[in-house]
Amino acid sequence: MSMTSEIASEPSVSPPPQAESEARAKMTSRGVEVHYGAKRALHGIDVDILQHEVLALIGPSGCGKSTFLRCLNRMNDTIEGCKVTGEMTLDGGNIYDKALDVVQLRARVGMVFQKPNPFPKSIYDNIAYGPRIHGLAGGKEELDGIVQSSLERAGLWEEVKDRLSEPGTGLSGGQQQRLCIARAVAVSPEVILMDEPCSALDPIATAHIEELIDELRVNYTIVIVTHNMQQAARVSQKTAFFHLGDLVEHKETQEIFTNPQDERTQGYITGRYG
Amino acid sequence: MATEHIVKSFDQELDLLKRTIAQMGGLAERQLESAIHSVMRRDSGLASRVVQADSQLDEYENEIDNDAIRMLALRQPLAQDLREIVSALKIASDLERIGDYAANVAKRAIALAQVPVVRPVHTIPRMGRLVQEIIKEVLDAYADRDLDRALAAWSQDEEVDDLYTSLFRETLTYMMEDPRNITPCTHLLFIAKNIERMGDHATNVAETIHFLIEGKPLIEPRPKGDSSSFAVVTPDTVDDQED
Repeated sequence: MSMTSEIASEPSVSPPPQAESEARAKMTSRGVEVHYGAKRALHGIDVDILQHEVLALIGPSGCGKSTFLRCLNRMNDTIEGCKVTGEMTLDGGNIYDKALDVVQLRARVGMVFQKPNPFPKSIYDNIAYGPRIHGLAGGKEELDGIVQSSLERAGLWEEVKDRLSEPGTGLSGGQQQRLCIARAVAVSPEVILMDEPCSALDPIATAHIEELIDELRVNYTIVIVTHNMQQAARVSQKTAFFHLGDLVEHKETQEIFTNPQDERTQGYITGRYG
Repeated sequence: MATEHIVKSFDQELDLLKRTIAQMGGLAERQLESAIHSVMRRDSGLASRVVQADSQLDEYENEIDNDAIRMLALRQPLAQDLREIVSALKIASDLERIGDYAANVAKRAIALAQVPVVRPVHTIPRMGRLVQEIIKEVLDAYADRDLDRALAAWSQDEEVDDLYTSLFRETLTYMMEDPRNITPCTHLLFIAKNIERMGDHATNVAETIHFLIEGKPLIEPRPKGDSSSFAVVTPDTVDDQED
């Protein structure tokens, strides 16, 4: 892995006095820049991601929104030539700290991808895999409980409870995506990142996922990348619009979609030439 | 910023919506003008034509409603586009109400033409002209996206309210003087009230234009001059006025 994190793991000093709004910030990003080789993909992003809120990241293809999402659980570490600078924290702790266990970080900050990617294993094992490797379950009974509650949270339990031993890949696309969400939930994450989770799903399956996002928000903090404006408007409380590597506008979702202040935001969400 | 949509037909639909509002507004304005004429010239024929023409305004409103609902469903508009379409719906509804009031004025003109003239009738054309001016100004402001113009018209409505309040007092006085004045004065009072209501709908349009351009509602309270709700005229005050 050639990824180099330039974020110094300085000895932690007492945290700076935080403003009221920052008190609820689950994750923060300060001056985060990402380079892919010589190309600068993100230009100093400052964002607070508030607890129990859904943040939607929108913007044209190549604007940096997925890159930013992948910074949040260090998925960019796996990309050759990718360099992340700036400061990014989870509950005030630097996530690019060299001493930090990335596997643990990704258990706290889970991810759901565009294309449902269940393991080629049974439905049961898809969910049980994470808790097993993280040693979250004491025995078979406890693991059964985690599998059931995860599937219930993902709204899939009723549909699959009688065929847990069947392969996860045999489910429909929408069910597979909910299986992936259940898998993410099974390791008790605090933040769930979703990269276009509905783009491969039909409207009914999409509605299930959106309903699920709203329910999950009670327990988790969610960041979702979507190309579907209406979806961003429906599921999120805050929206951030990215353009050419810049964070152009970040505020209440309702504000962004009824009265955006930046012309680039307006042009993008109304489908005008930018 | 580029103002054209990537999907050209969306621009065409928005243009059509704006044009239909302009046409509907023009008709509403003419309806008011004709209704006032029919009162002043005691022209029952003209009044009947105003009453009949009201259905055209209803048709315009239906057309705008249908277009707007179709665009909401098919385009799923956001931001400026969403405000554009929602504004068209609201303005069409206000213009339709203005038309209804014009038709009501015309109906009363027919009744008024059958009884003797009373003096307060002379306030009517002044009120009518003022409201017509406000309607014209807000429609131009809508077409030109001119917020200042819309707000100027919006604050003019206070004058209409003042005229209405003074006409209210005057007609009460006349009614007290001679019971034979009661029929014409009552019709007159309703005519004035209708005109005053048209002014209110015109200010609604101005407020919609504020939302359309600024993206937020106008919060400043409109200066209100209509104090007729509190007006009391007693026989004593009539005597006072005649002294």
